[in-house]
Amino acid sequence: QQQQQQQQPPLYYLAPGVGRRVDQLSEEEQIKIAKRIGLISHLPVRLFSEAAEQGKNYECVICMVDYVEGDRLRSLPCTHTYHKDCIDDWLMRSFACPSCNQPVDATLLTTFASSAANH
Amino acid sequence: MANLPRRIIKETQRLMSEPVEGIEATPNEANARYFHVIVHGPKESAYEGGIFRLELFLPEEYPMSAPKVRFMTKIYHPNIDRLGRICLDILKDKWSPALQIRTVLLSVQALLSAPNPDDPLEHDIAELWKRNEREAIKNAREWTQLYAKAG
Repeated sequence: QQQQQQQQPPLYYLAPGVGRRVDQLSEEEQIKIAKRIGLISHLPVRLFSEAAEQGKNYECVICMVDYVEGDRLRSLPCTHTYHKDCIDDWLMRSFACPSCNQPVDATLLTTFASSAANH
Repeated sequence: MANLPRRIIKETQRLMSEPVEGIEATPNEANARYFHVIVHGPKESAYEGGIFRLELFLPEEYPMSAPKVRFMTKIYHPNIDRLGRICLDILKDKWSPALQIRTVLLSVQALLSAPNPDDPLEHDIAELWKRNEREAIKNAREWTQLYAKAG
């Protein structure tokens, strides 16, 4: 099965459920994805430490697995926190926080909207 | 069922151990991503007393994309079409991975309590709902008696 995955070009998501093979993305879509990756990389990552986060909810709402010591977590500007891999997977599809729906970066979203409108 | 994400296993277990009032969701024996769902018509709604069968499917991308939910029982509702498809924002562009099977089914149940004829899927039903709500509710009651009874 791994071999099969290697042969398949990677999928990118313009929106949840709207997957596109990398070789089928338009130039505009490629720019959009590149901007997303750039933005995501600016969001802070930290390691989960039980001692530092006592009394908080330990479960990642995306995968529903409890955080364990040393897990990589990512916090959004609204302060909602998830496993890094879980939230990155979502941010590649949508810039809204899964818990509060707040846009992760309103300015960047506006840029996307205006560049899309110009086409 | 290999490669079933932990989240799906957990959600299924929690649905069993802490069921939602008026909702039953049972995974299919052969496919753990497919659920047989029963929603009881909410009290004081036009669907009261009805037992509505639905199917719910968790796509490969779940929870990154919404579950697919469809009414199997015929229902007279402005936001549910004759194929059982449901017009509900969280099943479409308002989906978030913080939502769950439980929250989706609660929203479906709430849609039965509060039909929204301003965002219709069945235009004829929505039109009557706005023009003559009493008549529309009477129709919904009749369909509930006709199609959504046990047995």
